[in-house]
Amino acid sequence: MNEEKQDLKFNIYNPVITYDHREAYDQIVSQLQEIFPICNQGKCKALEVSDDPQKQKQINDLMEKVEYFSQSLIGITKKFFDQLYRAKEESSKANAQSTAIAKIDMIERNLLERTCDVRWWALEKAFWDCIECADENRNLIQAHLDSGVLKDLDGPEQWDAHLQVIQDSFGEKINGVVNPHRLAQVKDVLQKMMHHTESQNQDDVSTVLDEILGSLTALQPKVEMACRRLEDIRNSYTLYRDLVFTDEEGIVIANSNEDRREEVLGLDVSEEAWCKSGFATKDGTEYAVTDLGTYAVEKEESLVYSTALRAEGEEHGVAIDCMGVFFDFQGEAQLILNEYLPVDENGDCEEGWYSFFTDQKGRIICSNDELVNPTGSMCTLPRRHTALKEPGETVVSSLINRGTKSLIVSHKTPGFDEYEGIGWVSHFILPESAMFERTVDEADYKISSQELMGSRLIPKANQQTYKEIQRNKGDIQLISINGIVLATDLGKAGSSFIPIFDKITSTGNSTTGRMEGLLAEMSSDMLKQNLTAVEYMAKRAIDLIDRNLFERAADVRWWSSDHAFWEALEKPSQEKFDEASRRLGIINNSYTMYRDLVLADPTRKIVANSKTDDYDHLAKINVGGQSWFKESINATASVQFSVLDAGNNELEQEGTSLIYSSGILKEGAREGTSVGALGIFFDWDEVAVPILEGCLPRIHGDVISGSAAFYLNSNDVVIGTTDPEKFPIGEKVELPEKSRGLASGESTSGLLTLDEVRYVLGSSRTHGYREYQGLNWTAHVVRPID
Amino acid sequence: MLYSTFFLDDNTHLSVPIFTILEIVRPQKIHPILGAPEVVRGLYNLRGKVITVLDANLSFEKDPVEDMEEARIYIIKTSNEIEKVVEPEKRIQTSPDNMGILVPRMDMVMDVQDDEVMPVPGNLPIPTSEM
Repeated sequence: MNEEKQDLKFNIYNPVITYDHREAYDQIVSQLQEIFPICNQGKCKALEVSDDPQKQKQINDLMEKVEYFSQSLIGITKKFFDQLYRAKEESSKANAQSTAIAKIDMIERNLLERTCDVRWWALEKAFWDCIECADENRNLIQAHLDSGVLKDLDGPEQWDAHLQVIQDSFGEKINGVVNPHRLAQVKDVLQKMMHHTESQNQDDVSTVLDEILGSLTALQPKVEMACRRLEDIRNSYTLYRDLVFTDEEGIVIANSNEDRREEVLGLDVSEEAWCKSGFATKDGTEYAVTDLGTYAVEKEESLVYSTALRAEGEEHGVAIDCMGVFFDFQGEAQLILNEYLPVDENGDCEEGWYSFFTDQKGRIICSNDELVNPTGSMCTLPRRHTALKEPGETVVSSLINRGTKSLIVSHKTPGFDEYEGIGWVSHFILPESAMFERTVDEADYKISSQELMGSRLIPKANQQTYKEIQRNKGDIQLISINGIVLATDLGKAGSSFIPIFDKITSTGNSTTGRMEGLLAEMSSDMLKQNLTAVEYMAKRAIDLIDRNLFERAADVRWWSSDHAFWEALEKPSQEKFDEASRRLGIINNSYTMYRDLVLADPTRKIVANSKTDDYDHLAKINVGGQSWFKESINATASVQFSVLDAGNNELEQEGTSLIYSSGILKEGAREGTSVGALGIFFDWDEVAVPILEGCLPRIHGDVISGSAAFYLNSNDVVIGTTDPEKFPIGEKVELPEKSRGLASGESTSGLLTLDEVRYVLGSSRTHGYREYQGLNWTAHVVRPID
Repeated sequence: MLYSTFFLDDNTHLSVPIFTILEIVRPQKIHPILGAPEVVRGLYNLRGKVITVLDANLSFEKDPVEDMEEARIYIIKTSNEIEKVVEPEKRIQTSPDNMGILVPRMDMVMDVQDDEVMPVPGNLPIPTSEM
């Protein structure tokens, strides 16, 4: 008895067993139990109707066999319900697990992009121009203040007050004066002092004041230019709350958020963690990530990426200041957390479903439900769910969460590529009842339940039970007919056995029929769960690529405004082209996903590229006929960009690229005429295949054999695939109508038969991401059934 | 009279009178006989008794029975055995030895009165009409 209890996880008294199933169980068992008195009746009758001991024994044997098989069927029934619920539990767990992983993976990839960004931006000319000017300004003013020239003067009564204003404005750190309010104040005072000294012919003091004023006046446009470039970044990449950089002493001298400029410029952030770790980076390839928090620059919680800006924009130059980018983590994470959650008719997330991230200390850093799991509070899940040790570790538990028995999956970030991650954990909670509820699906997938029962979608144990039931059904039927044969041989006396065997046959048929019905229900549930799983995976594949391509669109828009490019195109010289190539090379080294970056002039020639070894090949090509060039050379705003669909291009010697391009506008302006085009060759194969591989269906972490994932362009032609044999690049795939006719952002699932192999198919069409509209591609994930 | 019915395929439903049946068994190993007519599937060991098994499907020019999970063997009584259990007017001549008929799928037991039995229509294909 104890053994049975241990083996059966879901016995019929388990509260998750539905009412329908409990009723079915009761009926099956009570029907089977009715057979025992009938068999006893049969044994008694055998004694009545025949004196032949052999005949009596034959009938007794048959009755005992019936009893045996009935008993066995009762056992199977218990096992069967256990397996039915285990199968549902297993598949729900696998789905929940891949959802938790998908969410942290999505945020992880996003964070990796941020690290590339900050490293590259730190090399921008306008920034180090501004820094150098700010340093000169500080040194000059400091020297004058130290010399005491201003103090020694016998001025009018207001002189001391003026000096006090200057002293206060400069404070301990002179560049604090870049704050627009303080700058206006100090300039006003300086002018008043100048006026006084000029009238008094105090030339030496006047010269000092003039120099200070001149220095401040020279710094102002540099600060404005730097702020403008930071605004350009913020406009290109809409994920940031603010971007700032400081001078050597940790004073913020430029920012991107105009609304906060008055408060932020001149702030001393030298003691803030992000600033300290930014200064501590060793070279242009290093960056620091400071965990979510509120900082003087940005009151909203942000994740801060920082690095040092280096003299002359050199990768290995001396650190002359610190750049910090304040990532709108909440906004981004919220989008991700709200995905893959069921919503009610009002569009609200259904009760009992939660998704949130916690940091290393177990504090909630973003949540889909601020009322239940507020950001900033400590997570109330057991420690084993919050203190995961190994990167990539997953913990799954069944617990009571807010009064509801729930399945809780926690997955620690495994990091991604070179990005190690910051030890966050993704938690996904769903009510246990949702795992076992009947999935009502009206769609007819044209697959019989018998075919499904034999398919790979059904766990082996369940298939075994199905066979056992079938066999027992056959045995009972066989015994009954043999009983009838025996009774017939007894002549008239035997006819009283006929109703007994009829009853045995009908009970056997009805109980096994009922169990087959339940198995059919289970197989259709499993089909539905598999369809949902592949649909989610397809959605994830398209979401990931959309997000990735959004970044490329942002990259090209921002890079196209780099000074080295418009300078080279406006005043062409070999030296300037070389400088442009050098800049392109630095960009390409900061990222892993570009094959090449090229600069084309209005004569349709490529004048610079990042991989200078390939230049001779590129120089011979006229790009005038290529759509990316045509669109970009006619661009009139820096926010415009164009994309050439994945394919082979004569500019490339190998592989498939997506070409993103943007016009280079005169003097790097935001609007104006284009003086050339920047094309970036996104290494499509390298990026698409790993994403697709990450979206393949798995069991216990292993990819299910025969599964595949692929992207189709708007003509249903394969542009990326994990299985080049079944779904080769460049080939058209004949999909069911439902998968082809998807609207933007829509997902679906169904069955697909290809080369006599039947698959469950999940499909999803791009809906773009932020400003990136998408190219009308679809992602598809298949898992073989047979 | 009681009949045990079985299917050859989805369209062909046949029956055997219960009194001619000695026993119905699940097919275990059937040993093929070299040189025997195709319709003979082989020999079957029924608790020490050797039974010749015919394939019902092959007798009706269909594909041989393959799915042994659902298949059954009707062990047919000898003429002598039949004599012992039925009145003379109902006797059917079978063979001096027990024969086995391998059928793909058994169905149910039907009670059919003699006057309900109709003659075999003349336009049926030959093997069916001969049966």
